[in-house]
Amino acid sequence: MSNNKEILSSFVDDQTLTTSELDALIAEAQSAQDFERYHLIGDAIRDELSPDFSIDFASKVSAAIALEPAILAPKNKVDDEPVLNKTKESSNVVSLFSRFGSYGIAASVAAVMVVSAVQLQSNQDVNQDIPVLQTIPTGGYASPVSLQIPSNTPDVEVQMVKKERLALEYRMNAYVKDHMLQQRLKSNALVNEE
Amino acid sequence: MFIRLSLIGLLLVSGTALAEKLPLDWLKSMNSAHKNLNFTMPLVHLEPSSVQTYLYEHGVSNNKEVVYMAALSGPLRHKYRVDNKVTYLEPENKPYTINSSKIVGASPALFVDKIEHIEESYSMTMVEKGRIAGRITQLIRLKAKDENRFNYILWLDLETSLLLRYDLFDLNNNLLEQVQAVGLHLNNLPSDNITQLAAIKSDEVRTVTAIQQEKWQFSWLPQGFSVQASDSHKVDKALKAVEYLMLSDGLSQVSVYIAPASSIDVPAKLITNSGIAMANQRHGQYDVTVVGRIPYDTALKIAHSIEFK
Repeated sequence: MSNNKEILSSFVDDQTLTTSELDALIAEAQSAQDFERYHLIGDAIRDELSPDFSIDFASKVSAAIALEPAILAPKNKVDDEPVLNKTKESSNVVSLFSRFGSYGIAASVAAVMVVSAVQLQSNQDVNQDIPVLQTIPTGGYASPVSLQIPSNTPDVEVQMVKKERLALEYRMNAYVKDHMLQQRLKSNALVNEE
Repeated sequence: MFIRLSLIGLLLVSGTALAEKLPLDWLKSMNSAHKNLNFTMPLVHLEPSSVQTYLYEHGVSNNKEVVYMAALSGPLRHKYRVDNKVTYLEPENKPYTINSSKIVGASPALFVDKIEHIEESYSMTMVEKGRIAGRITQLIRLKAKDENRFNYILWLDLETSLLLRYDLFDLNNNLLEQVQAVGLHLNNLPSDNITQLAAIKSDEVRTVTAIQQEKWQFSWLPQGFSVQASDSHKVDKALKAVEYLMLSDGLSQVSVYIAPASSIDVPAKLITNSGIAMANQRHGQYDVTVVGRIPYDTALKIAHSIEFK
């Protein structure tokens, strides 16, 4: 698979392939998508994308990234389908936010990944840190990403229903974005004080 | 022969002058350099989660001070300041202009006009010489006097005193942010870009309509921090308005949000990967959230300290 990607990459870069390598590429359905993607990347690097491409692209990428597993999350378990769907919905919600009000802050500046630790305020005396929130900065939109919970901590699952967790992520991300925005809006107050 | 001697003399004089320059003198000459020189500086802004390149330009044209900053990669994003008006142009929003004498955010001018604040909260040490953007620089370390803020190292150009790099470290000396010039072009005259910006009719300034509120105060704030602004506003269309206070020590800003307690249990501690701490604490029927690039423990103490006036 990864070998195929390598072959494909050199094919895209105009290198000659042997017949067997070509056959291997054709046989694999995934290659077609990779082929398209590699060229798209090439176009983007050379700044040859069509003018109407960029913004919609950003939201697509952010939706795609929303489906990627959270970075600090344990890799041993992929969350189930329903959560992925929810994630997609929430990415739409966030994109609405960027049109909110007459002021705005570039989300790629504002949307910071909230990845680090959470002290659980649960019944158990926990000092262990678990990742809880994450938004991903991409060309303008931030998407909360679901937490992937290792199966051996049922406590956490009980504690935070998924829907609540999404609402919480949403609110915390809104605070971080607003914090960035307020610094701009109130910068005059800060300077006057000096 | 005479020329050679006088050259040596000059070197000696400038040599001793440099040796006697104290950190405070450096900051003062940095202030004036950043306000008066015409220069163009491509730079890199590094955070744990992102790398972005910018073009930073400064100039004085027609008695107007102009700063221009543009992202060099990705979507076109720029901001500029003409005297006391800052305009932000970004793909996500309609352009807007705000009354302010500073462009907010990572910038080589971050420490300009902050001497008072720096002296109050940091001890300054000259470290050594370094090389940035092909130029010799003097390193100055800003070590916080307490554990309520993070530490900086500054790289100042030996010749012009312009800030060519700064690093921000957390209390464990992890790098949180770096702004570094990759070149410096000094000009006698402002660039065409700066001249054009100075010449355009000034943009209409938008004023912020927020409901003022003065219900809250703090029983404790970290040394150097004070309340800069307070109002009540919506952080998001989908969420209810919250009460808001902004704190600052001159270099970093901290936002305090007070919202009616929610049914969801909020995690007490969240930290973004660029070092922004969020401390949540429930005060009776209110959830208090403190957001800022300060140590988490400090954010939590601030959250503890809020009280009704």
